[in-house]
Amino acid sequence: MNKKEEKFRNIIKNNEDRIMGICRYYSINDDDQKDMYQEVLINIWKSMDSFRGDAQISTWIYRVAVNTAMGFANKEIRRQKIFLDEKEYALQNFVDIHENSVKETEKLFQILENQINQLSVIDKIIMTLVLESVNHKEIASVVGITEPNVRVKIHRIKNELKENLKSKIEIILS
Amino acid sequence: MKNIRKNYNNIDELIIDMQSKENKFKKIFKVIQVVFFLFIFIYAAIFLTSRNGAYIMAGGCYIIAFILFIIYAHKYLKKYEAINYSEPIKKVLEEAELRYRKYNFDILIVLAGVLFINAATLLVLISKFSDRYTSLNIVIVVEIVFFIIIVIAWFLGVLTWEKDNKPIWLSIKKVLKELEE
Repeated sequence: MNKKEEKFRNIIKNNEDRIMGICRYYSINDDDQKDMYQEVLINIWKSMDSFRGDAQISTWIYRVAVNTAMGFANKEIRRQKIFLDEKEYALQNFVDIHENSVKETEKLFQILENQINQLSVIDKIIMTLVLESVNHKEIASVVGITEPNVRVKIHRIKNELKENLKSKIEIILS
Repeated sequence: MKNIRKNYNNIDELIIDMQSKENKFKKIFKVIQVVFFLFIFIYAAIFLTSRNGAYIMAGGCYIIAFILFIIYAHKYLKKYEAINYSEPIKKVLEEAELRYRKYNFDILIVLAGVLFINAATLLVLISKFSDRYTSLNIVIVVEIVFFIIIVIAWFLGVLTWEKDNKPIWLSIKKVLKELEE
């Protein structure tokens, strides 16, 4: 086993969940997720020689995963839809789900998913990273903008989503 | 993810495939290099050994043109095969924006190569047919032919860019604008 191969295996072993976490947002079924996961692995392999260690390995992985998922370096920028996979904590970011019934919560998931999909490409990416609990510094490093800029963007997106969800909840409950 | 057709059963298969693809890329470039070096050798043998000064100059022009084509092929393959996915999104997009522009600096290398071929062709034809035609007549005919070829190539290039690359370039510009907002 050569050095590159060994390094590659270690990276994958230690970051499998991280890569899969991102792939789940960008693909609806298991087959698509598997395909995207493989594509990310291929691009990790291709980019390995350029890893100089000046960024955290997790940041590096997120960059490869997001650039792959969105097709930023390919021949098309994918009109990528985000799938929330009914993650409770995703919804908890915006509303108190304990106040709602299961049926209402399901509806809210759908609404949140729709709202996120109406965001701009960059805002969508930022939201997936927020929902993956990536810190602001790391998000800034993945996207390539400043940390204060990330904070402003997250604040704006969350407020927009909260406002929209609030009005939808009122409709559901009435 | 329709572009992924192969499903790897395990990581070993993926590594083997990646290594073979890397070797394939290196092989493609080697073949291109060998073909152009062969041209350089053949043209050097034909023209540089001539006693005719115009032929020697033409040989020099052909060789420079082939070297320029090798440089372009190298830059082209490197650019498209070695895209770095681990850069920040903004940088990846900025690099992609440059790659998908209608005109880029690299095309000047090809244009320079074509001009050297043009000069070499002129030198050879003037030397060969100077007893039958005036130099001016030869220059006019050769330049008209080259001009038509360059215009057709440019037109086809622009059409291809409008169809394939313009939509990508516009999407990249849009996302970059979003980043600045």
